[in-house]
Amino acid sequence: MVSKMRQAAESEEKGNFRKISRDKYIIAGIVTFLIFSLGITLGVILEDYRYTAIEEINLEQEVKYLSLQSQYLYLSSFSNYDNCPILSTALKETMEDLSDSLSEVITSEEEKKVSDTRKRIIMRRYLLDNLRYWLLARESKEKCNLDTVNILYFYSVECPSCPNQGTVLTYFKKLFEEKLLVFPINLDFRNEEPLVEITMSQFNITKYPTLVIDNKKYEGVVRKEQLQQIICNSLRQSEYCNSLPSES
Amino acid sequence: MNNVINILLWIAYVASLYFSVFMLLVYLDKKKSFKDEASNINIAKYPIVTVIVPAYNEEKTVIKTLESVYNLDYPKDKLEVLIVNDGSKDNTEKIVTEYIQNKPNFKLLSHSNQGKAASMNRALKKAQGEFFACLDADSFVDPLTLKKMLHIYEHDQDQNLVIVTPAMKVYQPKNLLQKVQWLEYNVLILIARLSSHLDCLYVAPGPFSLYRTEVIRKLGGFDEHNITEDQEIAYRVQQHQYRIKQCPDGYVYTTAPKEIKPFYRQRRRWYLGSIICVHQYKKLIANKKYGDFGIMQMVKNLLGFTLSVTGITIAAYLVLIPLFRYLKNMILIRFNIWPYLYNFKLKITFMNFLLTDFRK
Repeated sequence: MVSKMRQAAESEEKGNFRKISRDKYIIAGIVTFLIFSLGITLGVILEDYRYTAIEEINLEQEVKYLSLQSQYLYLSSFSNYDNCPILSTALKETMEDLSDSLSEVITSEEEKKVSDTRKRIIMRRYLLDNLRYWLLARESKEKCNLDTVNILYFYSVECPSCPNQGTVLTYFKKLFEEKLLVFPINLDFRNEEPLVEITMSQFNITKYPTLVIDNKKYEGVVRKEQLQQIICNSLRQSEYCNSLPSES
Repeated sequence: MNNVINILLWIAYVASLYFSVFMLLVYLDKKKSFKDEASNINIAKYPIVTVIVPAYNEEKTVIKTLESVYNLDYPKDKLEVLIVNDGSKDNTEKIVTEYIQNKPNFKLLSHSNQGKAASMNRALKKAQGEFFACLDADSFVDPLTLKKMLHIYEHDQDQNLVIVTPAMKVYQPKNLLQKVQWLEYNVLILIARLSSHLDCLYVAPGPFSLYRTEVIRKLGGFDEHNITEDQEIAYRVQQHQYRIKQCPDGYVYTTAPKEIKPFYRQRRRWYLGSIICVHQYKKLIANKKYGDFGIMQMVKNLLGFTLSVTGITIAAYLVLIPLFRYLKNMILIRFNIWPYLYNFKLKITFMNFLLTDFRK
């Protein structure tokens, strides 16, 4: 017992070279805090800038859409002209712009749920744009007899097999380019956007993913071969369809 | 799962930044004393020093190691060299016997294979030196290192200073892996130098740490059950309130693993040993009695090892999940990637940069 106490006292005495550099810990804490707050502030500023840029793009697309719609209206009111070539080139150009900038939005969105209010508004606007373009594309296809395939793609962030369908669609978009028009509709917005509800009830959508290809509904994931067949059946000519045996 | 990973990542960021800033502050504070710390090989007394060389299947390098000991700038009659052949299966014993024939201060001890710590303990019992050093048979010591280290003992005049650690360097780095390690070892020399000023050293490297014989004997020698006995002894010394200092230019050259597999095995042993040691000495964690060592170093080690384990898991997760997704996508399009290549546009705009989500 005594020896233990002596030992303890001895070690206490021996430990007197130990110091605690308290001021350094505090300064290090403050510096770390400052660096982190600087980083977070910068992040917030960058995020803000990002949204402004996205909004600008949206605005530009809206103007483009307006222009396209006016062209369409104008040309269709003088129906004795053969105005379709002009319309189809205009449509193609706009579509390419839309798919370029917005495919990035889908891929980033597929991975996580959108919670930010600002982002939700942007996404909702994007959704509306897609529906409008789809209507226009459908109408111009009927009137002008364009050789395109319009696909409405209903999906949800929660559905596990939707990314698979997305991959297949992206693949065909790359393959057929301007002949294939894909309009992704995120069904998570149906509580906020009544138009989604309308489209859903019109096509009687009950499960994800669902594709509507030229007014025909395909439920569940449509595989690559099957989708190629469907697309090729509605296209009049395409270099990628020749190899298919069951082409009608 | 994602949230857990994010939180862990943020803890890792904050902790590593905090300790880096702290070390920087220590550096700025001690900058002046760094300059005064010039190496000195002038010593008044020449105490007897024992060099222990444990060897297990080291026929390729052992002679070079002994040669470096032989070339130490120190009086031969004050230097005792004990080579412990730890039941080698190769020619180590024969080669060493030949080498030490007409060198009276070199002695060879042989026993069946018992491990490095046991070999050193056996030699420690026979050692006559006031100080002793261990030198792994794959390492080579600089001729002046011993004098520089003894100068630190002499200059310090503190009976509680019981270990002086060397500055370890990689011996002739050839391939990339060794060069990376060379860089790492050099950075570690600086970190150890800073830690030495804080009395926070927690490892006495196997190659040529110089111990005070009497104290190490009193503490019971090396732990034969620990896989990293060189860390365990340092922790034990710290626990008993003894001091460890580094000799910043006492160079020792060690052979770093050339291939991935031995490299992995070495690191695994080190890090596993670290975790075991931290667990074994957990009473020191955040213990004010141990000053900076308890408050900072032990917490840092604890955090470091926990975070590195989780870090590896996260890295695997971050690599494997996208890899899996990529493979799945390839299967979905039947590995037909040419439309992607055909349409590949290298268009990097400012917008792309803005759309990148850096948190992912």
